[in-house]
Amino acid sequence: MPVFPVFDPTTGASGGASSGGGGGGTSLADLTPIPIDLTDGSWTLLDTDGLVSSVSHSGGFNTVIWNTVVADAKYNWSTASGGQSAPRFYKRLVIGTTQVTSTDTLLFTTEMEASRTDDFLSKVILTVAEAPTDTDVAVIRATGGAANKVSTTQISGGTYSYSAETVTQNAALGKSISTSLRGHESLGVGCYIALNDSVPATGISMGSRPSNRSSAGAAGAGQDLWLMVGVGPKTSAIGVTAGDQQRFALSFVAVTMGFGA
Amino acid sequence: MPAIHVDFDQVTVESIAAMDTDGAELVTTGFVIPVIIPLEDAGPWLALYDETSSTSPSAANSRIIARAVMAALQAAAESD
Repeated sequence: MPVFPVFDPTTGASGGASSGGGGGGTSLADLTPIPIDLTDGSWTLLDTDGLVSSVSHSGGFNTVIWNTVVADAKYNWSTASGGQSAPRFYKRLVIGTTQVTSTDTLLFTTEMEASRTDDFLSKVILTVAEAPTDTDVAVIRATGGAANKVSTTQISGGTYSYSAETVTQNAALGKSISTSLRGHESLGVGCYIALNDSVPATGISMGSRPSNRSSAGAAGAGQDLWLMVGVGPKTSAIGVTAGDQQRFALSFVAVTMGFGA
Repeated sequence: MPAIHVDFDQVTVESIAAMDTDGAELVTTGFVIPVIIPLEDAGPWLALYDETSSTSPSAANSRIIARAVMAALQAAAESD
């Protein structure tokens, strides 16, 4: 089967013409996920209520040290009530030199792992968003993956759409893989496979979550898209004690295609 | 009597963090059962329902909905 080079997943550079029989250019086989290091200088933190004390990165895991958080729906990424003021890290979604927009057909695949050792029941989302600095989920319009600490023995992982998540929690859960398909102003749908913590990992569960948003949002069509990592408590009823730690490992692959042109 | 169905092959056990019909926060792990009401039956079902009456829908009509869901739940629980 011929290999069709498309782009270098690291640089985004064009892969050139089809090789016809393998070799030459970069194929779509075994793409290397891009790991997220929130301390690499490329991310901007929006933290209007001053909830994040510090951020570090080591061994593939990002660590967020929190200030005191009084439990509130506005710090819970999985609810639309009360606006959205949870901290989030963001940067433009650029593939190669091309800014991805809400009109593009986008496949956004994430690999996420929360930590059972977090000091509180936590949530992290790794998403593509239209307006990461807004407080209204109807303007933010985020889709991607979600991962939580559920208890000292369980973490969860799955998919995030708009203002809600569908995930699997399991004592044997390791990483979870999600893919969100969006484009042409639709927020599309997300799906996931939850993996166990063996090597190599095998699937233990799956799920999906349609966004149910098929047209342009409040800010209109043709929005630039951004990568957005949101952090916070798992539910609206959970507060955080100053000095509490949240850890997570994240990586992604973003691909656009010329469908629907 | 209007029809109601369950897409049983799509019944899953998942953890959901979302919003209930009344806008309340919904955080739970459970059976997700896709209930399908044909578009042509939505109107007839709604005609049998008065949201201001605590006895609506009637026991007979409720039983049809309940049995569709319960049959799916029982089958899913037994195969889980």
